[in-house]
Amino acid sequence: MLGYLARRLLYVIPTLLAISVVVFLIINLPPGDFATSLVAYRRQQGIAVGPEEVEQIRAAYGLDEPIYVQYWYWISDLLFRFDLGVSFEFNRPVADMISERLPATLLLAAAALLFTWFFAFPIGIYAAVRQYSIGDYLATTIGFLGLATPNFLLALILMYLAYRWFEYVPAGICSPDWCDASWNLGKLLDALGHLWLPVVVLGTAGMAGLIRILRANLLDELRKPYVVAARARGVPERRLLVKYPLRVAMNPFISTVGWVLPGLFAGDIIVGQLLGLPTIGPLLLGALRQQDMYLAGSLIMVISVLTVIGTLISDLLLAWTDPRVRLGHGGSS
Amino acid sequence: MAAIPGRTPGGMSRRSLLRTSAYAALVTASLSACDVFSTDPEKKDSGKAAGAKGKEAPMLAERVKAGELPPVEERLPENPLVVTPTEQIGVYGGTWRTAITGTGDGPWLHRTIGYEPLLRWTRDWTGTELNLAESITPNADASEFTVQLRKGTRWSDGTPLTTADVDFGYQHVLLNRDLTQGHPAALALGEDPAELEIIDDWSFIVRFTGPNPMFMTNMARHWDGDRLVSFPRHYLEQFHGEFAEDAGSKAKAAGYNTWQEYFNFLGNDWSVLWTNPDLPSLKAWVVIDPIDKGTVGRFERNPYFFKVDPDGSQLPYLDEVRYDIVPDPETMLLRAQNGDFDFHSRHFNSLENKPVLADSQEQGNYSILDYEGTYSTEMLISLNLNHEDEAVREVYSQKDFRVALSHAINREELINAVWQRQGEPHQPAPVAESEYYDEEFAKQFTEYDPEKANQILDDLGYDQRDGEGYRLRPDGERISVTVAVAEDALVTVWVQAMELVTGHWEAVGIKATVDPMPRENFEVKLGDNQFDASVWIGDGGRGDEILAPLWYFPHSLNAGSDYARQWSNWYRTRGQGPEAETEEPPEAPKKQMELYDQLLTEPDEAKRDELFREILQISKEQFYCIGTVRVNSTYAIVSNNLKNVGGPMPEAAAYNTPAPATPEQWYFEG
Amino acid sequence: MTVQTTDPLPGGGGPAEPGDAAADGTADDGPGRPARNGARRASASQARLVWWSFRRHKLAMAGAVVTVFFLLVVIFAEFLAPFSTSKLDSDYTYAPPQVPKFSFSEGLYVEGYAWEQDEDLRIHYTPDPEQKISLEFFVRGEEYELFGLIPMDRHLLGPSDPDAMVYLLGSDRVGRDQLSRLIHATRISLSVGLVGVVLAFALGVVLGGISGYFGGRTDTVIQRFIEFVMAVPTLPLWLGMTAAIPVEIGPVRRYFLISLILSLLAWTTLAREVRGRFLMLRQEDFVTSAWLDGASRKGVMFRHMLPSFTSHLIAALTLSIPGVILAETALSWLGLGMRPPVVSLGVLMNDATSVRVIDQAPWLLLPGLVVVVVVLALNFVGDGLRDAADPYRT
Repeated sequence: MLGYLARRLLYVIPTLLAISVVVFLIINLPPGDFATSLVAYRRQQGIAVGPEEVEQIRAAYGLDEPIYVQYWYWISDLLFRFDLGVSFEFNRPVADMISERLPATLLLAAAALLFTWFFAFPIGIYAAVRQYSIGDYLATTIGFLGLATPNFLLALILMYLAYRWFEYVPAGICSPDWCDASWNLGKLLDALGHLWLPVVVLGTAGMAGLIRILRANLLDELRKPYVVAARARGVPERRLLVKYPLRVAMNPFISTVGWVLPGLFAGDIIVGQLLGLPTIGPLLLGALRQQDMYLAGSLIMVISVLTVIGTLISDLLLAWTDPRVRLGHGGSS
Repeated sequence: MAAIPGRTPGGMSRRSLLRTSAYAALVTASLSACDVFSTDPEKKDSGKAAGAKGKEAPMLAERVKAGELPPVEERLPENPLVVTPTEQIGVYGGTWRTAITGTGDGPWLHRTIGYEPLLRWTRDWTGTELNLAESITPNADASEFTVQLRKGTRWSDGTPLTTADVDFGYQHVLLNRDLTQGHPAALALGEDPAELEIIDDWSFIVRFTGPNPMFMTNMARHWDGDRLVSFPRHYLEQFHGEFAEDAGSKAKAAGYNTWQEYFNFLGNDWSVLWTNPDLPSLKAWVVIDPIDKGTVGRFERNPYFFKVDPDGSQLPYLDEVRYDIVPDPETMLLRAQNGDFDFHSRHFNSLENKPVLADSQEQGNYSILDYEGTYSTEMLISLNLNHEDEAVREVYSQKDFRVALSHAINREELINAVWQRQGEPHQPAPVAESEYYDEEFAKQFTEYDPEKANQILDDLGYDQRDGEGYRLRPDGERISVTVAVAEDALVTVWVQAMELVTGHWEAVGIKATVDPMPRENFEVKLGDNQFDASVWIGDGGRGDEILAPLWYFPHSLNAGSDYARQWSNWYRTRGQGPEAETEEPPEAPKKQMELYDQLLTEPDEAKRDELFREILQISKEQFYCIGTVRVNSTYAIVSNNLKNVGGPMPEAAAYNTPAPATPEQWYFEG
Repeated sequence: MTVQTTDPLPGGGGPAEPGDAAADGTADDGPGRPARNGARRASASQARLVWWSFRRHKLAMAGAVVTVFFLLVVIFAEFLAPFSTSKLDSDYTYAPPQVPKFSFSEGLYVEGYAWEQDEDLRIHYTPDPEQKISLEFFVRGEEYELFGLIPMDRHLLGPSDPDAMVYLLGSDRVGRDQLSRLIHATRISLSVGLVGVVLAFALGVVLGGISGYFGGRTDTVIQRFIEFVMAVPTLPLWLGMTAAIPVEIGPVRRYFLISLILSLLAWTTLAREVRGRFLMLRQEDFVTSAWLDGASRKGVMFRHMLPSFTSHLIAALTLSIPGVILAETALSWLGLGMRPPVVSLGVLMNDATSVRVIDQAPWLLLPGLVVVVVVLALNFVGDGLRDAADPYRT
């Protein structure tokens, strides 16, 4: 087990380094740089900016240096000083900005994940046990509806319906009356009145995938000799299901965490932007658009680290529950 | 209960009351405001001054009583500015709720709470009136201006505003090239910075190398007009390397490389007013909850604000201004419909959305206030007269070619399809309300006449067509126009409108393509002179004709006139700029530039007027760029409880709408 | 065959990827279904067996019918659409759908609109029984080139008068026909999906094949690489890459590049799938026989092993198309996908994501429904194929 852990941890480091290089390249790929964004912004304000000033700005932000030098500044600060850099646009340390937004992001991701599990689990089991029944078809269809409706459209429609029927707009995380209020039950209720929307939108997007896997795995398990034997011995169907097959079929719930997380973060970019959530997504989108290099780069790194850690944890959990994995039987029997 | 329904508009509407009582029914808990089981927002006491208004807001009176503040008489200048209310004298209290899309949405903050220059625009935008300055007196040839500040005006922390602040700001911030890039244009004549002479604690002289009659107008412009009174010395000098030895280490401790970076972050940035709560300010409301943290920005009344109403009661009436951060305009629109904003005129106030907003006026308890459009045209098409390709340039440079393209545009179709059947065809020319209006200029070449267009193009020698029916240049190359459009800029319907226009042009045999792109890319493309044509809005329709003349001749405003960036650069740099970016203009624009230079230094207003008319006459003949439709395209939504906003007002960036409608005297009724 | 639980849900994100590895098990016909007609089964070809099995899956059949329908739309878009994407009548903006009617005197026709604009600028349309716009099948209309080759001007259904406009599914905000735009958008989006997935497929099969067949160090390297690609957050990556596409290249090349970018990140799923299959098959008798028979490595891989799980691959393929379509949609919403004048489902949905549309022109939300139907259909087909892929299993 320890050897496995060490092996996995060793892979994490080069992976993250490689990601950092790719991320930095990608951010610098689009034409222009932060200086051009700044010029555009200034022009919007009606302030004239001459070419000489553009050069000055570029020099001030170090944008006139070759890209590998810029990368080195960033990565060396990150590695040796745990310094995520300063955002060009906000003129603030990136670390501060992330720490302001990380809790809400994680809370939302966790809530969406739980929501997905909560619904995918019974639906998946039902679909497997009653394969090819109307219920199976219905469950599958509903699962896919969430997946196939673009997040932004779904969120806007839900928001519109809330406005029409309940006469409030569930954007943000609180309504104006409550945002400044101190925490009490009312504020909690108000927060719940806003949070359901992103949770539903993000949660439904990932549900279909999980339902499919659960259904397929459970079907396979149910066909195994030990189940057939147990059934032959007259074990009740319910117990038959719960005793072993379900436990094995549950594995994807653990193993998918790592891969569901990036999906949630990506969804957060869109949903967070639409709803104005204090999460990382909208910040990242803005940073990418403005080519605010250090902010965008560091945000993506944080997401990647979270993803890699999530994967690691889920792999470890798997290895712990399933010896086949631990022993490195990567393939099949 | 702290919140009094109907008293604070931010507090309880009928609906939120209903909702709250639904919660209350859900939870049968005690309803004390301090209880964690309470279902009421625990709000700060926003005052109960329903009866006698008094000289100051109740929230401040309490602080005076508690000994935290000096009495109101000591907080006001000796001669405070008396603001005449638009409709009637108001009462204290309430929160103005509005929204921004994010920290990049600075213009809305500047337009709502950031406008306190030395002078200010009158509400009808016909002139200027005194603001922070008690007087500004020009000398005979308008090269020297004596500015008198209001004695006893105080920064929001109670420190008096004196000429020491002006001196510090000018000599050590604006003239410090490490802190300020480029000299503020309003404080220079051409390339020569103005000279500042301090007379006493309250008065100073701004001296130019020659006559600068535009100085007075400039001092009413937002940003230009408050540069001299934006830097509280007592606070900022602690972070200035020339005054504080530890400035560098302070910056390091705060995570900045140099004291300059940190100084700018604290006090010399476009956004300091809403990111630095410690910065003393002269505005009506000062930030208590910065907008770059969290999802809301909050501003509270400035206890030392220098204006009073006719009763002598200190302004502003409104206790608070709050900006919700709503990045998506559609979400913002829904919230506006829901009545979440008291006054707003940005992002969603398009003609397209008007039916939706009009529909929910009752539900949201607001009304629509139409703005007076000042733009000459909502979409102005510039062919690049400085095109890199000589052959292309030759085509575009022919006035008749542009005339033909103008005749080819079906403006009625644009009006119907894009501008909700509103507006009229209009060229980039002063509009009917302007004193410079010339109907012929405004309407020339606007009738839809594809036959005429074809005829002109044939006559120009472009009568040969290729296999696909497109016209060819004499050298056999196809004539084509790719129009760069910034899709996320001021007007969101440009792409749609240009799609129609390219259709019209193709109908007369000109190959045309729309190239929508993000605004940044647009700026880069135009800056590098890598474009055929571009689209922008027609500034200078009325009110700002002289201030924003860039569509009348190649002027350097913004980044230069789009139809001739190279000529604009030449004008800006007086021909001294790098060769790649400048080009000497032909006679006509050169003549206009000379006239404009004359105008800038002409003290006599009648003569200035005449000079400007001369400039306009030339642009009418030159027909630099093609206009489409003029329309009153924007409006505001105003809560039915918000008073003193007044009727229609001009909409223009230079006017800084709605700041000249003096939000400090707006108040909530009932 | 065992459940391969280490294979996590692939498709490291993006706007959700429905495709899951077939390696995690093949759902089958359920326990205890008796084999029909053993002799026929034993002698039938694999394709036929798969087809028999597939046919039993009702939802998959329905999905297949819908998919074929959409493929026809892709191929014959210009013919099926009454108009081109840019034809408009600016008098009818946000006009509601017209219902075709039939009378013996007029034949097939729709009623024109009477409209008035209220002071809030909203336009109210009412059907005007006085104006009858007659419709015809195989009517002459705008010219186009079918398949980009054959010049034609016939349209399946359209107004008899080529200058008239008919809005069977309503009009958009400038007065263009939503039906025509929808048809053209479906073509673009589906073909982006197809092109993207085919590219991803090629990458996935080659890398997955190498990884699975050779195993050992090669396998480890490729697996780590796949893990790395999956750990990079997809949306920022797409954002960066699409933003980097030069603006001046034409819509066609832009379209191709976007497909390419989307595929670059979709191949990992397939690669894992292929690898799992190869690992499984390596020990099968027929592979050993082929090997002993002196077949080359390449031969064994591509001639013997690959064909044996083609249906699995097709299934995985159908399952990853929706992901690409949805990704394109999300990119369009962020202003980085297809751009007007090209119409994709993403562009249409982007236009429809406005309060005005939801409130006053809900028919413009139809592209959303099309995406749902396409995604559902492809998923059902994929499911059915996978279930049917092991026809010998009972």
